[in-house]
Amino acid sequence: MIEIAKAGTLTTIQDAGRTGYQELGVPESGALDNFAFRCANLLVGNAENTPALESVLFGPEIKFLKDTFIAITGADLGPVLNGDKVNLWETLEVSSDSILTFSGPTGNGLRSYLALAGGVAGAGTDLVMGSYSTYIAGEFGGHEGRALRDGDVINTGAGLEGFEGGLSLENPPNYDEDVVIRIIEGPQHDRFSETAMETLTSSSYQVTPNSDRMGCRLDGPILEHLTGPDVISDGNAFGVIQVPGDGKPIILLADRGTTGGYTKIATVITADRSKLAQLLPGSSIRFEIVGQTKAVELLREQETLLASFLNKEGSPLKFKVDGMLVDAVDDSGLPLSVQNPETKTYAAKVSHEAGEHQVEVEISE
Amino acid sequence: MNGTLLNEQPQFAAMGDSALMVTVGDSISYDINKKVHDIISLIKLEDWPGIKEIVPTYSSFVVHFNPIIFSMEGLVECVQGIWNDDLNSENTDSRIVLIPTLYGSEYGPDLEFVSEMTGLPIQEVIEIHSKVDYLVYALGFSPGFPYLGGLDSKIHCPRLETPRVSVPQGAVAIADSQTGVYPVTSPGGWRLIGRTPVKMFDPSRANPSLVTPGDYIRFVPIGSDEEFAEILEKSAQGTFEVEVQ
Repeated sequence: MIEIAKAGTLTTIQDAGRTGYQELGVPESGALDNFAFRCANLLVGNAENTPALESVLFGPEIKFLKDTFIAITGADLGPVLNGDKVNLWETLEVSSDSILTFSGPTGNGLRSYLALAGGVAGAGTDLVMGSYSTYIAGEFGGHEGRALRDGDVINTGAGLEGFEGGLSLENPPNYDEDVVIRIIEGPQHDRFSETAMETLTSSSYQVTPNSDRMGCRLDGPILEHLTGPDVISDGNAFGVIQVPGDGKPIILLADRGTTGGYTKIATVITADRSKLAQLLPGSSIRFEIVGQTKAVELLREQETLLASFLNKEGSPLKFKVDGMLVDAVDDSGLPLSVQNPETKTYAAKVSHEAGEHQVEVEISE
Repeated sequence: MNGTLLNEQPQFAAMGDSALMVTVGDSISYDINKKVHDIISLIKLEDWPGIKEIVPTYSSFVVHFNPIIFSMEGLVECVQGIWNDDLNSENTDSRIVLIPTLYGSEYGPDLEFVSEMTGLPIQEVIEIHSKVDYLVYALGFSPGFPYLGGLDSKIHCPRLETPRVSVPQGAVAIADSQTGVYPVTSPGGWRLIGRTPVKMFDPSRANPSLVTPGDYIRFVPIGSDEEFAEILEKSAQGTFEVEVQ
């Protein structure tokens, strides 16, 4: 268990978000910086989609009520454990009664992720439509459907048996560099004037303070429509850049409405999702067009980086089979952790709609 | 297929690297929306890898997928491949969800206005509104809000000039050519003609929304405050089952 002594600016419970309910008008929600979120979980021996805490700008003050492993990833909001500065992107061992505070944003990112061994779930923090993610506007998910408050006590699960910690990410992302956001044109770029795309890709845009989990609102040169900003309400996706009548682009994020009626000039590639999540109000960004092939290549690189974690000593042993993550298990069906990186053949349990079965998996070089 | 309303062939537009927008037509119409739902049903019958979810709207739909598993080009080809397939009768058995509704009085404060504006007696407005099976075009605006097509033009009414700050949960409303039900208490500018005691949307249910896109809704008038109160209580306890045909 942990106690939220102070909640900070905005701390919510998030996982990878809700899938399959957008057709009912339910937003995806979920950790905005999906990479940092997944990485934090892997660093504490959790499955990558285990609910964790997302904090914005000024982080919370947390008291740990039992010994555990934690990892802090994403923005550098100045984490301090029992009075000492601690590193991001590595496993930290904390003892009961430890206090984690954040000294404040350092200019390197906006959103911090805190994963705990076993994750945050239990009484008051329930699975809603397949996800623990908090959707504040709908008042469901996360802890009682709301942001955390001073004094909340949050249950944590049981961590991985035998996990020894000691993991870290080499070359973690840096968010305070000159930010170039890569985009794919469309779906409705033909609804804009000839110069609009050139304006978008040759100008600098500023992130305005009224940006939130729904969208990142930008200020900068106006993007001109051909015949007006409205389309018959249609679907959207994370990273869609919609342009309302005032010509100022808005990049849609995880809590966006599931449908919208504004023209969409371009869409940010999935691999740059983290950059969007970490934009500080007032910062400047530029856009660069890439093709589908490049976008998928960059995404694959990110996935490979995360997958490399999975096979480090002491971490839960998992494989991706046809894109599905499966647990490796021992002879009695219990989850295995990596003991010997030299071992190349493992038994794995595969679950699917028809049931579960054991398969043999060989790790290729 | 109505050639004047539907595109001969779907239009495809990439929405980033992991979503594909497929446009069926260029207006809000029953035929176009029906085609949207039919194509989605056909896709769901296939077992394509990497498909995360499909989100229908009026005249288009978006397929969210994992491009590492299934390429954008492959997806486009596959959708084109099933475009002219026929749905067999087994798959076109649409559900009609019966929604008990108390019309008028404090439950539908704008019913009198609709009657005056259209010159139709109140009873006739109720009959016109409750005789149609409305296709659920899409859900959006807020979780569980159904956009319904097929409102009789005799009772088309403009929106309120100033939206209400709070429209109660279950309010049955009309605006222009549309009708809908407010799933949760929220602001709203549609004309309120009645109210249903059933919970249209409840995040804690296994199926949070009573209706999904492609279903039909039929409003069934209920006779009295007592009946409304009875269903409301059962709904709150989770013991009321809506009738589905």
